[in-house]
This record gives sequence, structure tokens and C-alpha cells, in this order.
Amino acid sequence: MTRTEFITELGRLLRTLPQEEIDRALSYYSEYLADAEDENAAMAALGSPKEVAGLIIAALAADPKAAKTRKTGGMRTSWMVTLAAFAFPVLLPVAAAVCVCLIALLAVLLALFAVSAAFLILGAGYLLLGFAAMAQDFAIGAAVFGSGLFLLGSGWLLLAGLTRVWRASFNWLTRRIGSLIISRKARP
Amino acid sequence: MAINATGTLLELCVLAAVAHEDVYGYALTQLLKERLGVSESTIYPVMRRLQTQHCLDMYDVPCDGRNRRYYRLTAAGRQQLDALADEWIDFKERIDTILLKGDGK
Repeated sequence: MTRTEFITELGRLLRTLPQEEIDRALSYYSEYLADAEDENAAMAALGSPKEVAGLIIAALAADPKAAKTRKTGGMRTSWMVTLAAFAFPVLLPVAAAVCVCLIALLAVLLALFAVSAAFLILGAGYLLLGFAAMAQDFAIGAAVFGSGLFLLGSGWLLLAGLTRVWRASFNWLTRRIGSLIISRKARP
Repeated sequence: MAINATGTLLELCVLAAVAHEDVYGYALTQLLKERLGVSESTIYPVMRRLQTQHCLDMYDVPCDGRNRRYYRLTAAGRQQLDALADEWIDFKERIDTILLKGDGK
């Protein structure tokens, strides 16, 4: 192992430390090996880069005054902020699209309600009309009456289905909002 | 050597050696290795700790076309050295008492 290899390996092993600690340690050991009469003997006496790095990291961890090895945590936070900043222009349209989709779904649901209402009203009308027409021509009257029954039945079915969907989604929504409020309140 | 200078005792030795004369890393390490038999890789962490405690500071001296970093004692380092030297003398006396009298009284 050459001096450069030793220092490179040491730097790699110290990478979790604050940059200042890495720089100091590497410049110390570069100079140390440059000052040695016999570089190879000096490296052998120091031990492997792993041992040297282990002692440096252990000493820093034990010293409350020293800068702690919080680099990873700090990095994570700063990464999150950076990611959020970069994601914002993407997330905003996505959030808007989700909102639009929800509104569209609501509109479809309301339209289906209107359809079921129309079926019911129309069905009731056909029933009356069919009943009245039966006096003149029984077949036509019965057909119209039957159509009225069909319309009433399908309207009723549609309404029942829609009410179920509506209730389920409403429950889900209130539960979601409720848990959001509760978890926010639970936070200190 | 069965008894080793570690921790605070090694700190005291580094302070004392630097107090004697300003010294660069390799020379200090060789001196302490020769006198105390400490392992070479244990010296840097001690020096770094003394720097963070402001007991040591550094200056560069040009040498062979590069800089050699010398360490010297600060005022705080001098205080720390005196305090630790007192502690050491106290400790040494306690040990001596036990060794000589056997019961520590």
C-alpha cells in the first residue's frame, strides 16, 4: 500500500464524519507519513487504515465537545428540503389533478343521482300514462305501463346503489379528516 | 509494558511533551512511542481532542518545499497541564502508599 492509497482509504473510512474532521485527519496523516524516514515502516506501525479510522471515530464519539457524527442526519434533512423544493413544481399540478379528479367523480355521482331521479319521475309518468292508455288500446297501454314499471325499478335500483356508494365515501372521508385532526392534536 | 498511558494520562503526556518544546506530529509520536511504548495511531485522537479543548494550537513552518505543522501549548493548555500534573502526583502517591505499606494508610 502506498501513502496515497493509505490516505485515500482512510478518507473513505472517515466519510461519515464532518468534513472538517476528515480534512484535519487526512492532512495530519499525510504529513505524518511524509515526515517518516521509512514510509512503509511508519504505515505498518500505524496499523491498517481501518484501525486508524476506528480510533479517530471512537475518540470523536466519546468527546462531547467535538462535532458529532451527525452528518448523515443533517444530510437527510437537507436532502428532504431540496427534494421538496424540486418536487414542488411537480407536486402542485399533481395535487391539482387529484382535486379535479375528485370533483369530476362528485359530478358523475350527482349526474347519476339526477338520472335515477329522472327514471323515477319518468317511470311514474309512464305508469299513469299507460294506465290511462289501456282504456283505449290495452296492448299499447300495457307496454307503456310496463315501461313505466321498468323505469321505476331501474331508477330505484340506481338510487339504492348510489346511496350506498355515497354513504361509504362520505364515511371514508370523515374518518380520514377525523384521524388527521386527531393525529395533529396528539402531536406536542 | 503491562501498564499503558491511555486517556487522560496520555493527554497529560502530550501536554507535557508539547510544553517542553513545540513539536510536529511525527516527532511527537516517535517521542511518546519511545518513552511510553504507546501505539502510533493513538496519538492523533488525543491531539485532536486537546485542540478542540483549545489546549493546543498550530502553526506551519516551511520545510522541504511543504509546510510542517507544529503544535504549541496555549494558556488553557498550560492550565490543563498543571491541573493534570497535580492529579498525577496525587495518584502516584496513592499508588506508592499502597505499594509500600500494603494497606493505603
